[in-house]
Amino acid sequence: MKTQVPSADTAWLIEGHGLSKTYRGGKRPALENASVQVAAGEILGVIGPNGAGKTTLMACLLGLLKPDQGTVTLGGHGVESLQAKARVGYLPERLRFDPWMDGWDFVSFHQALSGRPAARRQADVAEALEQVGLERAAWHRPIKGYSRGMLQRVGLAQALVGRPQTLFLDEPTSGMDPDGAMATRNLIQTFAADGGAVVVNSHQLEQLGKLCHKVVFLKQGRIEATEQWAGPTGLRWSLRWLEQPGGKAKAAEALEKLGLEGASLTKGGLQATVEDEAGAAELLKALVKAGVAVTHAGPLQGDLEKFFHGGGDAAE
Amino acid sequence: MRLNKAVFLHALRSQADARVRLILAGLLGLVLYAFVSGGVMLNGMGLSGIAALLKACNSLLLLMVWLLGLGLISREASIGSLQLVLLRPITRPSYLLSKWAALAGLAWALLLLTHAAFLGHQGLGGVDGATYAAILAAQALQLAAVAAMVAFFSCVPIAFGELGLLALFAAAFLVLKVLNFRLASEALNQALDLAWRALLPGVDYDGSMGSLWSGAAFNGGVLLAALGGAAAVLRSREFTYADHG
Repeated sequence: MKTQVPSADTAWLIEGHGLSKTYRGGKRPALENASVQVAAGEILGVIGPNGAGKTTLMACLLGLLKPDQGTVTLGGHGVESLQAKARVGYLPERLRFDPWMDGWDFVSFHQALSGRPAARRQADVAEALEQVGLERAAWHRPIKGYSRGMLQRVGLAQALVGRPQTLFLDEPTSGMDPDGAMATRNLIQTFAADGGAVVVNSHQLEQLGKLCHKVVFLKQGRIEATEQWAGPTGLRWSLRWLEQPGGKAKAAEALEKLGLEGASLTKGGLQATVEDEAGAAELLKALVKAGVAVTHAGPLQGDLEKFFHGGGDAAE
Repeated sequence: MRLNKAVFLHALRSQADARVRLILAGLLGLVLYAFVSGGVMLNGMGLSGIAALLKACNSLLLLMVWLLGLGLISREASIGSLQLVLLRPITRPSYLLSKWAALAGLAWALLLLTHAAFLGHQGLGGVDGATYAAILAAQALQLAAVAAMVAFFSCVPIAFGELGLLALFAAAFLVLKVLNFRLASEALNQALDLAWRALLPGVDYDGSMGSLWSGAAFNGGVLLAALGGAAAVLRSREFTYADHG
């Protein structure tokens, strides 16, 4: 299991440490010693088979469930504190609402609950509904008549209307058409780029691969592996080379000259975070110049399907 | 702990949407009106004066409040919208207080309507102004206690819901009352009587202010115990979306 070790200057917006939870009457823990950290600008995906503990992890991070062991902080505040709650936006997999509400009422109610000023209500609600692309004609129609995609949109508007710092999303693009899914992905990425932290729980591995910076793989309540392929401020690249005597030492020397920190070297390759594609080209050039026989280079877009079926082995 | 305006207004709006309950409450209201206007005969005798008002409020008005308050919290918990609310920066006691205040406010509005009808038809009902005001205050406290009991039952996570729980209690008490069943221990009998009174707190007035005060003290105790119990139950409950693992 690979976990991130927070450096002294890393400010995790979402931090769950050593979370364990066994339901009353449960034979085994639904969650066992799970730790996750998400920094500002990061998007974390949570994957795993049904019953793996994804919902339990999400509920513990949100403070809806009290873990038997472990702690959760959001923006440095205990998850049950009002300061932490003021930072949270949550989109459940299936949106629940009062049947009499229309889209506007629903988002407006959550704006009021979020503690945002009443004077900003009209503007906040309109902005959130526009942001998620819910057509104006539907704003004042009863939610019970909404399609699945419209429900996802209004749910996302509800999650965003309180101007949260952290977003927790359960199957955010479920039921959306491809355009809607792409727009939602862009919205989430913009939220993260603006300094927010996001946790996404989904079975749509392809969507997660495009959206997330890192993914945790849960199985039987345990985090089996963590895969990171991009940071909030850079791209994660993977390079492989022909194994030759001294190849690893040459690569290490090239990295040192380049001043690239945080790269992980293995026997026949490395993974490193570069600023952009030009940075990746520079890394490649430096390795070749040092005499490393590079055979493959490319962005580490998590092959989540392989990761999923390999139970996390693909991450090692 | 303070009242949350958004939850308070939302609770009132949700009440207005429960049409079936509103219709039933409306029908009860008509009977209530007949009672306080002196149009109902009970056991062959027409109730009049302050006795009619007490009878109407101790039975029909309480039933109306129970009816209107069913699902006050449990409905949101069962459909899952409560989870989203609890994630917002609002404490659970604050949420509870706002829900209770909405129901108590509705109950007080009904009480004022009842009194308006009574005053219109029967004047002060044979008592002086100070006594009448004391009876009104005692009834307001009584309704606040009933609203607290409704909130308490609405927080209890029972599989068949608060209606089932209430029906179970009512059936048990009805059997005991109708059969005039008495337990061997007098202490248990008294405890049962107290529990019954807590479920449907009444306003006693036998012509002396003393009975009003002791009744008010009991109802005040019920109010505090029910709200405290409801807050404790709500605090200890865990909520999650169990749609997928």
